[in-house]
Amino acid sequence: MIIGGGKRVQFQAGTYQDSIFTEEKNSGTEKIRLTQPVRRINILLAKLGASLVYIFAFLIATALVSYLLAGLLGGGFGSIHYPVEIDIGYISTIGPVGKYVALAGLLYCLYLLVIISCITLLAAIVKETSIVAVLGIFLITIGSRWQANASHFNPFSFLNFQHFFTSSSQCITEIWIAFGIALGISSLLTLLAHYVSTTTWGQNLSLSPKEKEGNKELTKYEKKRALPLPYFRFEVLKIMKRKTVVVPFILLLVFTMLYGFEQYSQYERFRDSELAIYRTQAESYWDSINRLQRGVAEGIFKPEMVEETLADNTDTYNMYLYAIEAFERRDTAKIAEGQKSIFKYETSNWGNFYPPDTISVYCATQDEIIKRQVQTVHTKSPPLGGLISSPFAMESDLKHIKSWHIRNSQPSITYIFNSLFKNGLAIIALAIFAVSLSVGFSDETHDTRTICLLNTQPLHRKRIYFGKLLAQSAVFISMILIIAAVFCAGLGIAGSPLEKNFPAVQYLNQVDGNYSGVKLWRANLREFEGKAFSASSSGYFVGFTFRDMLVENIEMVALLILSGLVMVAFAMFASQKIRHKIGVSLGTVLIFGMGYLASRYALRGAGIIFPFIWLNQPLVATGEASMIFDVNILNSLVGIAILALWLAALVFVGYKMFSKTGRYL
Amino acid sequence: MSVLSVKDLSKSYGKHKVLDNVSLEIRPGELVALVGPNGSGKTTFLNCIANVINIDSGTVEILGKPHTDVSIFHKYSYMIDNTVLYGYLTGLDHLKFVCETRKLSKDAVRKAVETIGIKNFITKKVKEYSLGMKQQLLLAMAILNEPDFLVLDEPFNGLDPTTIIKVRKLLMELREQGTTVFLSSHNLAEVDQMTSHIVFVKDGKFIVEDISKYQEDVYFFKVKNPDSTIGHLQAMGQLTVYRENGEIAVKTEGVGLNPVLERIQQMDEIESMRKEIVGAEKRYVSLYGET
Ligand SMILES: Nc1ncnc2c1ncn2[C@@H]1O[C@H](COP(=O)(O)OP(=O)(O)O)[C@@H](O)[C@H]1O
Ligand SMILES: [Mg+2]
Repeated sequence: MIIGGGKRVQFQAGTYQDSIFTEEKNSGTEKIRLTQPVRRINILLAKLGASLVYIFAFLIATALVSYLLAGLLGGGFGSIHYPVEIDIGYISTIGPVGKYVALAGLLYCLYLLVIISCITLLAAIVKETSIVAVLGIFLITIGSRWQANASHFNPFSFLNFQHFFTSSSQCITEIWIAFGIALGISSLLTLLAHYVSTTTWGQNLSLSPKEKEGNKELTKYEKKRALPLPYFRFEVLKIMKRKTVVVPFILLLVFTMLYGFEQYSQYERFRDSELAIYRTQAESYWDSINRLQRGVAEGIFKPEMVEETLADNTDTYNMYLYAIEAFERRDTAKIAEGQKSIFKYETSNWGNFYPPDTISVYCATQDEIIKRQVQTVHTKSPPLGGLISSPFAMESDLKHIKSWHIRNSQPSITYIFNSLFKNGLAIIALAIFAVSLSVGFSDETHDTRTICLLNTQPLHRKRIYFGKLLAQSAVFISMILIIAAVFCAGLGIAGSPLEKNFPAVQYLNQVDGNYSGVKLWRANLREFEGKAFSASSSGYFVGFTFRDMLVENIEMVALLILSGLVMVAFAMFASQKIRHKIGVSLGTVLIFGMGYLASRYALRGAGIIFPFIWLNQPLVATGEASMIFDVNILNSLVGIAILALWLAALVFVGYKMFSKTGRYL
Repeated sequence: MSVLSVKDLSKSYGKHKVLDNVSLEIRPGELVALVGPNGSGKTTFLNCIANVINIDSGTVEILGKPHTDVSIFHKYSYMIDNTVLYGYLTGLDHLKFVCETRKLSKDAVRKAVETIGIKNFITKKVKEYSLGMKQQLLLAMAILNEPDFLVLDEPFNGLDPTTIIKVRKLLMELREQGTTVFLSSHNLAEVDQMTSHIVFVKDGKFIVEDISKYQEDVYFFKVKNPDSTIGHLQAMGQLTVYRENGEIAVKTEGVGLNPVLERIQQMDEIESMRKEIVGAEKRYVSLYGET
């Protein structure tokens, strides 16, 4: 409970700390400090200390509040000797909760120490708060990909406490080693930061690279044709010249490309490992058939005794053999058929443990894959792959799957693009762009008064407002589309087929009399697991149908873009009250983040009228949201309409305010 | 028609009344300086007339149009301080922007750049500029549209002596070409040589003075009957005559000292006489005290 909020805290910690480091470079207070007889390294250390104190104060406060709330609202305070059990596929007891919390806290602090020193170094190199914030978020995001490899050499894995504790019985020694290594890494980084900020070489890092000759540039300008929309172009120029926008864009582009190629290249690996599993299974059934037959031949078993088992084993063996042959011949229809039978067989062995609704959806999807003649989906650990995207899967199963890092893989552009959304990368991109782009007017008023330059040109208020809004929107849309286009083109060149008709499951909250598909129990949704369910709403079925995944992708891109535009418009509005750049952008992101949580977990069905629930594009586009909130009309198109309305409303209100009071200072 | 016409303008920040019902007319071809110590409200006034900040009351007309009409900026430039520059853009980016939003021909940029002489650094980012470089860029941006009315807030701030002379010369030339110039300065010495009028800001009020009367040899006479003598001297025409601290101050305005002396000696008895070259400095000190 106490440690649960890890991710959010890092996010905040990262950004608070950045501004401690970079704020002064903008405002010139650093110069004042530098004229005092204080050594630079001391300033650096003081800042490092200040951010540590700040973050730890925040953490301790959070921990105390969580403890108090849990104690008061939950089941009392309990004892710190209560044993902690962790579940890593099997249940392991790692000792009293007091020790667990202390060690986890220490690991967390070490992790933070390393992150903070990374950010210190970044700040020394980049010297701009928002870029450092964005890079910091990146660092944490990408670093979390290494969390799984628990090792005392990998400070990112310190966050993964459970894994860390169980990776060795010598927990305490491990932690001492980790402590030393984390301290070593962070002092190295701090020294490097000190070096960068004191040497001429380091200080020149942030200057503009090449110097152009004035006369040449003037001639070049005079030769160019005059273009329309000067103000809009100026705004675009300003955005593109801000490293805060371009750097994260490039990083995101690279990151998504890497993700795409990894997804594509892992397909063969997943396929091979799936095949290997089937081979092992086939061999073991072959062995057991042989053993039984030998037993009969040697007179150990009476034939009628083993007849049934033998028949069963032979059937199963043949089933695996069928799949193996299909794999070898690359006959996708037969592979899908084989996967389906194996899935059914394996899950029936597991009894009630496996939700029947999930099985139905999986089997129907396999049929659809056969019908549409697209390539099959593979996973490293069949049959679990059938579970992970199903809203009918049990929470407990998903937890296992998460800790085993199971993923599905399919080689088409359509599927990999879709997985960008379903793996949450789109929302990360949105958050990053929101931080860098939704600054509204604050870039004209925070530490500068460039708004006055605009106000002393023959520009109408309308042009200033809409020029800025359109420029920010155009840049946002272009960036998303460029990433999407480069992503798809890159995969296409790498050899990934398009397969735009890949079946996408579309859940239906209500099925009518004519519905001929499989009916599902709404009460089995994992959202409702362990919850008392009112008879009236559990009383009817939900269903599903299929559509082209390309359509789903387009819907999700539309939702993503519109959500981004709503955020940009919101920032335009908010920046008229808040002048601080980081205040506006982070405020916008926080409001939308909180709004999403509120819509998802508190407002639920009623959240549909707000622009937040649509931030989770897959939830909405697959129809999952319509089932869990029991709202029939909840789908992407409604989302697009509602977001468009919010966009219009925010633009209108923002413009009204701007035209009335828009004079600054 | 006046280039700038301000009537009963007031502006407060909270309870602090910075401008208290001030009025000002500037006619075509004048070069007017707004003078006052730091914090006296010069920038506030210039921002008010440019409609960069809202005014509490009063009316402002520029080039015959209300100042809320943004089209005045085609022929009116306001050079604000350097906080309006984008650090991450180059000087040329700024100039292009101003050129294009004002719908000027592209060679205006080169002309302004060459006039001010900033060609060697316009491709640098503004955040690498010194204060003086920023001022020169701002000036280039302000003269780009060859304005009829040019307003400058502390244009000499941060400039080296050579550049100050250059800028001063430029402003005089602009004035000769028919541009009306209105500039502010906290340093009277920078402006008193070039202006036709000085507007002193004191306690939120304006004191408008024709600076020429401070810029000549002034003879101070102490006489028995100053009242009647002043009348006689004024009757001579041409002369500028006024009282200051019990003395009669006389600017000869080309008449020469001798006729004045003769006239006084005819009417009165000269107790003492001295000559002073009075600059605006003295007026400044008399208004604001020694600092
Ligand atoms: N945005 C503001 N908010 C509150 N007070 C201000 C603001 N801007 C200026 N002032 C105050 O108004 C007075 C005049 O300032 P200013 O016009 O900048 O003077 P000057 O340009 O003559 O140095 C000062 O006392 C200053 O403190
Ligand atoms: Mg000022």
